[in-house]
Amino acid sequence: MSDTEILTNEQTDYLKELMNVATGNAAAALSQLLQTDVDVTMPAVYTLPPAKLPSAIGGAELPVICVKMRMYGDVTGEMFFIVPEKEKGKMARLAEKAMMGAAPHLKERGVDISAIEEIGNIMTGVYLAAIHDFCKLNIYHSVPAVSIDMFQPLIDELLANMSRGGGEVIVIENVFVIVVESVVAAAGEEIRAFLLMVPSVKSVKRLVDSIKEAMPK
Amino acid sequence: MIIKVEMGEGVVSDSPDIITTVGCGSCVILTLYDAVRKVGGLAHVMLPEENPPAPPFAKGGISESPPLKKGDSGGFEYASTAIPSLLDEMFKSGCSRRNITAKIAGGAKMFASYAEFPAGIGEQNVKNVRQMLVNQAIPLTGFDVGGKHGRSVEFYLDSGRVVVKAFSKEDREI
Repeated sequence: MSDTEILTNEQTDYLKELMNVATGNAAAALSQLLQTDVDVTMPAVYTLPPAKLPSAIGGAELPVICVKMRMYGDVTGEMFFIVPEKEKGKMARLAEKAMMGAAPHLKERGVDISAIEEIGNIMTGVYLAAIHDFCKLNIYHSVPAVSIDMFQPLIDELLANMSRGGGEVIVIENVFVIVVESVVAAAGEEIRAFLLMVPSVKSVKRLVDSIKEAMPK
Repeated sequence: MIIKVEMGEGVVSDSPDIITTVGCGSCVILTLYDAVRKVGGLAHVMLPEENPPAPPFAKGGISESPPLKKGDSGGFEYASTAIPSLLDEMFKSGCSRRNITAKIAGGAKMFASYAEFPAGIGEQNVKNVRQMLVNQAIPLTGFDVGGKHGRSVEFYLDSGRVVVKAFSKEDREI
């Protein structure tokens, strides 16, 4: 495995620092959305081979609420905002307490799911903004699609597509997923969430090079 | 013995083993069973067909990796090769083609269609597996395919029973 394709410990630490800055912005943005004080704890940030994702999240069959977005721009790929399904009740209570009458359109299709979709959207936005500010990479994300199911089925198409094309099968071990684990706390409820950033095979080098370049010398 | 099969893998065994595989979304789980010899095979198929090798990348070291050799994973990951691979193994265990039947599960589309998310590969996986079964003259005796939900499967080799499990749904036998 060549060192251009994976992050060193120093680079991961730098990424962590960068994500921590973003976390403050995430809390501010969520406070505005939910109209209540929101605290986002210092996230755990690490990288993983895509195939290891199910065990990191809590098992292939763990029921989750999954918000999926596509990345465009300097780095392409996919992003997932994952909340374990068992947190759905907390989400509903939080949304109810925080958004009483605030966003009627969210209530129509289940306030808990819509709130998670919206939170995923915001978190994705602030983390991508931090990457932009530090690494000078312009990355945009698509509108989200939401699904509730076991974790692995939600990403198996991604894993399959990453292994497409003969020679690329091997690459699946060289590419990585950036996992940002965080706890969103508001109105007395704590919600554990994962943000997964999966750069496409052809974007990995660009991303790693930009992180390298941005690091203080 | 319970045998666990991961994505892209396949295995053949005999009664009273149970073969399981979990978390299938757009993948297709294919089971073949010889009721006379009580031998069965399961493949967790990921993609409709094997693509030609990708062109080497100009830079980045990706092309330095040796290409994956055919047969490294037995060809179970592709709809086009999974059935012949399972059949080969089953014939080695003394199965005969006329006793073998097939069941399939999976091929879901996990996210609603947006312009950003073009049609999934689930449907194509199912189509190709069905076509391969026709080509190989293996009758399809049960299926639970499509929809928007993930599936896990238990394949009982004592009886050929296939139980499909899904999140927030009743178990279903096919």
